[in-house]
Amino acid sequence: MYINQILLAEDDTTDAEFFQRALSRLDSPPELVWCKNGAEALKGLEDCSKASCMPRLAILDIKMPGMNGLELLEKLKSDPRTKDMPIIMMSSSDEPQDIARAYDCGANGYLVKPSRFQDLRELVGSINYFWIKTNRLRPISS
Amino acid sequence: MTVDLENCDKEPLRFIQMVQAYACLVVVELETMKVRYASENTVEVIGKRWKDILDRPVQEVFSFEVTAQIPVGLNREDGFETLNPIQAFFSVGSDRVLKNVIINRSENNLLIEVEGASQFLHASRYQQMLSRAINKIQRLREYDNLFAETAAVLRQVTGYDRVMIYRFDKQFNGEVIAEAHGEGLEPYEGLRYPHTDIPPQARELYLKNRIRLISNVSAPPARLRASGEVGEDPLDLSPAGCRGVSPVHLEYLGYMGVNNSLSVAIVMEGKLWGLFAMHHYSPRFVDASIRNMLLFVGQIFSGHLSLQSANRYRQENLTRNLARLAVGEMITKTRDIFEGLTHGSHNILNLFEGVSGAAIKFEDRFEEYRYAPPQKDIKELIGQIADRKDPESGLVFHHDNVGNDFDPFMDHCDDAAGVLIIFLNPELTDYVAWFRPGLSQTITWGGKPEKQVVVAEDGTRRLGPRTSFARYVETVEGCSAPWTKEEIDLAMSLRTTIINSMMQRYSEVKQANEQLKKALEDLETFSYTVSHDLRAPLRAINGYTEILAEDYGSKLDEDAQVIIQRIHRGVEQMNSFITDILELSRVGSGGLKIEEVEVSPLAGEIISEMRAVYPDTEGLDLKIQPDIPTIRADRRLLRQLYLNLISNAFKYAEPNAEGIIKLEVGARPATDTKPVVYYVSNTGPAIPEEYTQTIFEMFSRLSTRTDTEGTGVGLAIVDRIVQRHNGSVYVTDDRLGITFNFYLSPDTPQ
Repeated sequence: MYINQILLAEDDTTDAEFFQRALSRLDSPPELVWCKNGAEALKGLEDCSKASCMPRLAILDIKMPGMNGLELLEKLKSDPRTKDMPIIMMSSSDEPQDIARAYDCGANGYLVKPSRFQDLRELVGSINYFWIKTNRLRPISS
Repeated sequence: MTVDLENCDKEPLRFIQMVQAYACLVVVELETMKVRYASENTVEVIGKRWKDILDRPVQEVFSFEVTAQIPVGLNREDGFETLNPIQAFFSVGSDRVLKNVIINRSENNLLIEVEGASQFLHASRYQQMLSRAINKIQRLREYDNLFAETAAVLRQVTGYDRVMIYRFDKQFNGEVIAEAHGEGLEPYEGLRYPHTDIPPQARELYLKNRIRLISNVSAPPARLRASGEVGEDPLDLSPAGCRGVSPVHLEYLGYMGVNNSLSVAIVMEGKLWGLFAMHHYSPRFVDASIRNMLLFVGQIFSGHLSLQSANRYRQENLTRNLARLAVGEMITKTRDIFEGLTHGSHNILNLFEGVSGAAIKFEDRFEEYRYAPPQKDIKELIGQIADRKDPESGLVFHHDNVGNDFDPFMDHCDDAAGVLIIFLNPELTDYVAWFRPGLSQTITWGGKPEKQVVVAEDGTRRLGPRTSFARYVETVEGCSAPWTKEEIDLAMSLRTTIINSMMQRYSEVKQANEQLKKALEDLETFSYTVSHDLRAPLRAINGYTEILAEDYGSKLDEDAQVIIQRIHRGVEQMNSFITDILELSRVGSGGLKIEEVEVSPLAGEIISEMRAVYPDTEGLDLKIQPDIPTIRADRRLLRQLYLNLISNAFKYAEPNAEGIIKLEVGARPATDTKPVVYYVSNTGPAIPEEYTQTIFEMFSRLSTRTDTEGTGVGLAIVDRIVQRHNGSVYVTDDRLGITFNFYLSPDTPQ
């Protein structure tokens, strides 16, 4: 069962804060679960899985110390408990090969961190609309 | 044995079982000390008949003065050399005659020669003549003088009609390089004699027995008789001075009109250098003491020659080493074989004397200096050299008549008869070559050098000496001056020098390459850092500024609002910088994917993007030439190029006199000299001439336009893209105002 939650794996406090702020400006925003690194995110999702309340969406920063976002993505996509959860990768790189690699690893989306806060707000709005609100209409098989 | 055409150069001179009439020969077997051979003329010389002395003990034939010396000589390291001649009296008829006895050991025998002794030759006079000759030779300094003076001194001392200094060349042809002769005699100086005049086995004997007297050409020789105790095998007479003369040689001398000949071998470094060749036109006898003295003079002479040649060699070697060092230094300094070999005072054209020209082939470059045969002929020559698989051919090749042996050079005999090549790589594709012109050389032979076939009465053919000694002038074409051993040595050491400095250069290039590779890797890392890490703090500044403006804007006064806007603008500018630098680094890396790209739709697409960014350019007069020819380029980079040029036009365009802003994208068709030139043109003030080049440099912006946005990287990117396509970009102020023109030729190698 999914709950109205977004898991954000992001080591940068500022980026996490911007994300939180951008999210909070939405109408009935989803709850943000912030993990500072890949290990924390894995553990968080483990707990969620035990409690049978998975977040609707995970957003993973690619460049993180320790386990990076792509490694985390591959782990989640190969685990039956999390493989159907939509995952969006996030990075400041707009290099085509970086984007392609993310999709190759199974990402459902790729988000280039915008330099303007306003752009981030709009992006977060769209993501919320598509992945949280729209997806809610369709049941996700597990 | 009959000497005929088949065995002429094998005539066994040392086995001629004859002795000259001036001496008799008695051969004593060492084991028994009995006489085993005797010449038929013993009775005339020592008063005993040969038949009577054969198989007799030695002491019955020779007196005590002689026999006492035998054990002495046998026990000495140098044998009888310093004992000879031994003077002894013999009873010939009713006379007591003083004779010179000369003993030599030949394997198991003693060869005892008895010949006349000049009683009048006093010891003091002998000493005087000897020291005069030697003094004179030793005082000599000049190379050429040495020969003439020696000839003169020898003639004075010996009284011979003609004394010649006869020198052998490499093929053992002889040349009279100096002479002294009596009045009324025809000069022989400068004449050449073919190598067949003194055949190999005769030259061999000169090394063993360095003096050779032919006392009287016309005196019949005496046969050597053997005792019945010994076998039929002929005895080796080479140690005996009175050894009989080859009939061919006697004939030769006879044709020359010479009656007496005395030759002293001049030996240098174990090789026969030449002869003191003395001729007399009447019979005469030269005493053994004088012969010994002449031998000594010959040794002094060759010693002097060696010394002079060593001095000269040392001097030349010094000069050569200096030249080689200078060239080596130049190559190391210039790091270039072409410059190094041609720019110094010692250079490719003066390292060797008399070269017509030279050539260097290294990697893709071939250069000729003054003269060289066509490169393809040299290549073919080298191919043939390689085919011959001479062990030295991988290092150096030299020839003084190359056209004769190698057909690629057949037609270059005039200017490249001589070739010297040093090879710089094992594939023989890199080399330095020198060429020498063919010389037409005039040789004056002492008689036409050809074999004379004598047909005997019984019809057998044999080789005879030349019958004519009339001068014969021959012109030899096609040979260059020879490459001397010293020149070849110089070439070899030069080769080592060149290869060493090239190796050094290669290792430097390799090192530079590695550094460059590292720098490129650093640049890639830097690009990533720029795209990721530098942007993060900017995002933070920007984000907080926006949040500040949005959430707390109402609490801030107007001044603070302006400050926030300025922070915002600064960050935006920084962002564009980062984007552009990243773009520039992308242009440089990665391979090009060249394809035909349609320009008009591409330009249209970019312009509509621009319109979205610059919405206030509604009134813009925009023209895209519909039929712009396709262009061969990397699509991504070409797009970037047009994007930068068009956005540049959008940024900087200004209305013309009629108040209209115009922008035009098009191409001018190719001409005979120019390819299709593509352009982006806009109205606006012309760019001052002094800036038309610098605008393509990084971060260059026109100082007059600081108010306009832009990082100054855009045109640097354009320039870089054009460079990567082997093209050119330039600004003109024709058409609307400012025009950026470019053409690409990605298919020509860089």
